Amino acid sequence: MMGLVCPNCGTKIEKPLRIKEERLLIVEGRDEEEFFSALLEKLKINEIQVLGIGGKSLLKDRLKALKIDSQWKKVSSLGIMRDADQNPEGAFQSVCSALKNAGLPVPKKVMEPTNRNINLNPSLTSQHTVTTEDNANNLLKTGLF
Amino acid sequence: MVKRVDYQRKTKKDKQGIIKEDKGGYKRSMGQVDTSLPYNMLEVENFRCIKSLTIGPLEQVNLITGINNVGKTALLEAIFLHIGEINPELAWRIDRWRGLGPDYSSSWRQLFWQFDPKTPIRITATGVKDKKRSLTISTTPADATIIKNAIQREKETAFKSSGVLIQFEYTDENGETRKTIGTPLMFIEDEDNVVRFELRIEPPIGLTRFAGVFLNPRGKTTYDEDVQRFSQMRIKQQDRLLIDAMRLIEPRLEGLEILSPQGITLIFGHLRDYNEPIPLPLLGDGIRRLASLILAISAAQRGIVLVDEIENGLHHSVMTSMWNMIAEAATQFNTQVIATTHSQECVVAAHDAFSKRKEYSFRLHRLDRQNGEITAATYDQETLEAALSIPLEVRG
Repeated sequence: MMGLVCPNCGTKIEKPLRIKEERLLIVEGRDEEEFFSALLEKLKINEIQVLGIGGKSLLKDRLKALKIDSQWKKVSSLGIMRDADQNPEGAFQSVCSALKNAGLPVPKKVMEPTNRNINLNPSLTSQHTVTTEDNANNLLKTGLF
Repeated sequence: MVKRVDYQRKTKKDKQGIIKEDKGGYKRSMGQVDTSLPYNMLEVENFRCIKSLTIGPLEQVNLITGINNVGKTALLEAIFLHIGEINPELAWRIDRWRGLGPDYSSSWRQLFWQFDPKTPIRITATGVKDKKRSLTISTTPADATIIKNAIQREKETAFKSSGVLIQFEYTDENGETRKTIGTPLMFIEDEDNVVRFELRIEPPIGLTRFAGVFLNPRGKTTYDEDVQRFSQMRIKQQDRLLIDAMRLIEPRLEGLEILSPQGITLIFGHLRDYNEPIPLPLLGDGIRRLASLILAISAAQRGIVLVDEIENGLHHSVMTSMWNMIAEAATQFNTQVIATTHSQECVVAAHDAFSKRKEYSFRLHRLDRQNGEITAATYDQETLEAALSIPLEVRG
């Protein structure tokens, strides 16, 4: 079966992604997506979906797009991982700003989840939003939530 | 005869429905509403499968997505009834397009949420000047009686077919209310042989504020409608746009004319390398559909065109160009377009076409069913760009 084709340039369009899991870990690119997916598989953690949504400058609009996705209602926990570059506080504030812009709960500190379920869905039990930076010492903790 | 609505803009109301010129290269954010469009926000209650739905803000051109049976066609039907203001005949017409005959429709139950006519249908639009225009549809049981003054032919007896009357009540942007009653009549010959149905509408419905055309995949526009609309375009010398649009599918097309060689009047196309003109139906479904769409946009000037399954019959390679033509036509004739689609390619093409225009006058709206209720999510340019780039599924 043929895949989708861009009507403008004729190149193949990737099959759209579906949010499948209650816990979502957002990373920057395909490399990070593959790395964390493999890590979680190695650790036998299979209830977290890793989603590479592109570079950090795109986070603001892409969080809004995720928030209105038809499957967003499934999500109770959201983790965001990004490169802190040379400015960890600035990176954290940038993520907080994107979360606020999308109407999502904003954590007070890195690695400290909010205590509000992002979908306020009483049928879901996990109630954490974790925002963190790509700090080498904290990778595993972040992946584990 | 069933009364027909002539979809002309009411001259008297023109001053109240001033179309505010709103040009210029800017992007509207979700919070901004274009108050020059006939439909900005829309609320539908108790209609077909929709218990309660709010959708908007709408743009000049809109695409509706969603899984099967989520209410996309019902939403278009609700807008169609609202354009007609106090015209119960449109309720019969939308049922016919669904394949339901007038005998089924005469009880009106199928119009109402969960087939329950006790709760009225309410369709409220916010449009020109940000003022509300509201249509309420309700039914009234009445005795099934013989109506002698309806009889037009010998041997006929007319009955109220189910004894259920339908009432359309429309409150305009100035708070003025008008209403009509529709009485389904069943004509019987030889005591028990049903020969025809008719809807008697009283008082007369008059003209509507906005022109409206509904193109649906099952009921194609008639050749007569296409011929009439093309004639109007030709008289005003606006047919260049139509030929350009049709050339997307048939690059050999050199011109169009109206001919009636065998008593049936049709649009004919002149093709390069062909000695004689070819009737439009023989040029193929895709070109006919695109032509009908552009003709409908021109006919519904300053009004609205509703299109069910817009991608039908069109190859993916022409879709971006098709959206460019729709955008051109919608701008030229100041017509609002609301279409449904199941095609991701169609969404990508629309986003692509409008992203390259001076003004991104397009929005995507996805209908979802959650806990039995239908909801709408609206994508503006940035959000749709983000969703398609990830890429997320935007069809529900």
